[in-house]
Amino acid sequence: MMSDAAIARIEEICKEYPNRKSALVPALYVAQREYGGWLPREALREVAEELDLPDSHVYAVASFYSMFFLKPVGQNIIQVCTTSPCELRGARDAVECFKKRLGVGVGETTADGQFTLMEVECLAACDRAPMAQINEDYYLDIDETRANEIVDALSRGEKPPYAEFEKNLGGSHPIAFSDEELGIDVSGIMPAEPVVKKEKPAEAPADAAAKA
Amino acid sequence: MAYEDEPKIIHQHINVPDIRKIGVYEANGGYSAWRKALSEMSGDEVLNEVKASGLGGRGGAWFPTGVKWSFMPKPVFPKYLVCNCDESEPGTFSNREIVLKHPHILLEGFMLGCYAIGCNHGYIYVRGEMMKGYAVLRQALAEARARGYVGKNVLGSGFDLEITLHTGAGAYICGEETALLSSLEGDRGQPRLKPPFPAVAGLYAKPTSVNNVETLSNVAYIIREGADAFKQYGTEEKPGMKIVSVSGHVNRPGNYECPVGTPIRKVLEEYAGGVWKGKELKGFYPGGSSTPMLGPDKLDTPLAPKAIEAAGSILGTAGLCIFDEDTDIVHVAARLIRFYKHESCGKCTPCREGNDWLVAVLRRLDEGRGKDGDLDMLLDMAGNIAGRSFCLLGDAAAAPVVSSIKEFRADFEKRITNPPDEKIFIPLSIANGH
Repeated sequence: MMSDAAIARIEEICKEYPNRKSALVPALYVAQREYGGWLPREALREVAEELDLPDSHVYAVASFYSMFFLKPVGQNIIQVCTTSPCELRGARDAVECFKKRLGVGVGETTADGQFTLMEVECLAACDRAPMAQINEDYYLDIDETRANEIVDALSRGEKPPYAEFEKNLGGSHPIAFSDEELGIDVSGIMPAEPVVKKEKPAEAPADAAAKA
Repeated sequence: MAYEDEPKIIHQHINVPDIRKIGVYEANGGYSAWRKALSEMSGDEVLNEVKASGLGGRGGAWFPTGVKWSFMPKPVFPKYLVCNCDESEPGTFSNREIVLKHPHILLEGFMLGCYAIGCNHGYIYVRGEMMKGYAVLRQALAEARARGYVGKNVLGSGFDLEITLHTGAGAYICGEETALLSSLEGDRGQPRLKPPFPAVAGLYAKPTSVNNVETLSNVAYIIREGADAFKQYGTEEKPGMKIVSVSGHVNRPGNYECPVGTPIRKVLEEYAGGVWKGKELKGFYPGGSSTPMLGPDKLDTPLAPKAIEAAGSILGTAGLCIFDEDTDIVHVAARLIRFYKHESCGKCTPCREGNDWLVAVLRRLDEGRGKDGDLDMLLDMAGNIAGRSFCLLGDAAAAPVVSSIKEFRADFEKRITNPPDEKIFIPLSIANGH
């Protein structure tokens, strides 16, 4: 069962849309966070009930998108981008580094359940290839040293160096977190001065139209 | 002039420390365009200024943004503006940098876009993997709300505006505007039939405009400085700047903002430091992997839509990917098609089945098991996908196959007639059973 906090977050997200179906992808992220990184059937049914959608629709959507896992995965998910621009700059070597270090093949999880290694398609960071998404963070310019440093830190339960997020989100999408949990901070930001509407002479709109 | 000293629009302040924070952004002129629009311009005037600037859609289609906005029927409410931040075209990474470093320039442009079309609730669709970018935007949006730039009765102007950050979950096809709308409505990200176009029946069947991150990030400049200032850059056909993402075998890969019409050679040699390791150029694709590959003889082509088209390719997103002389083009083609096969949404047969077959044949070629007639078969299959698929993904998938065979046919033939002694099997991606 999802926690009250998770249900509250889903309800908060629902307010952003004219219908509850639009909140489905965000709600699946919330559920995936709740269920430890993947979506068992039970989680899909709960989301369906919460959003008042058919089970089949929720399953159809969850199975369409590559970021929802319908089978258990390791605690840490290492996703190396191997699409051509990355591959041209050595993504294949980066995959080998992780394979060697973890002793698993692509698509496999280590025996202790700590790491799953995957290849994924373009992550839009081709300038810093080889790169990988590991849990919630992108890691850039990956070589053997860096790959080992990352795995070492994650094995100790620490955030690796050069992570994008300071906070550990456990691989969950930040949309599954409330503002407070994410540390959204607007303290010290004061409302701006209101604008003063400038009255225009009657011919002004005609001018603008002529200019266009 | 060194690249750093050349004029910029979006990148002008992108490396200012803490430009991500609203105070720093405002200190550099930020949100003055938004204030200007709310105090002295009507929505139509904002729209007309954007139209006059000639700004074209930077997501790859280059359709005039102001014209797109003007297609939306006036008397229908609500209307929606949706920002396409689903950047996932291989070799394209300009949006990611804007969102991570300079989120307010996007938000300000987005607000102006909403005002121009009369939208009171806009959505920014951020690709699922871009988690840090999403978090940066969420902080920036909270700051903008605290300043009163978003919310009820913005700055006392009487204009109400809500902005929601939505997220995808890993699907290239959601960059196609109607697939993006399906995804935003909580469905599988599959494209819809056009017409009706989104301008008439888009999000929730209401008039909708879908605009790219880079397009919207130009709008604040246009409103602040005027359409003429924007038109001093670029070409008559497509004014302004374009951020060129340079990847592959170059010394300095990265994003370079330069006027539309800048020759590819200048971007490669001056900005990106030339082909790496002192090697020669074999070829490149100029606008993301969906655009046909070209050879070194096309290096002097200006990065402008018509010029690139005349050279046999498409400007697209200006994601310029460079191949050095030792590049195994057969493998590059095989790997790119693996991408399209993975990303095909499965809705229409030519794309779903065709890409599967392209992968099968390219894979055997790549592994040195090619047969006579394979090249003609590939071209025949690609010809049955392009133009016959439900959306442009089919055309996109055919482009690297057809163009690589056209430009580098000898490489393919050699792979068939002289298969390597040692099998050079390089595995194609295995993508988690999806």
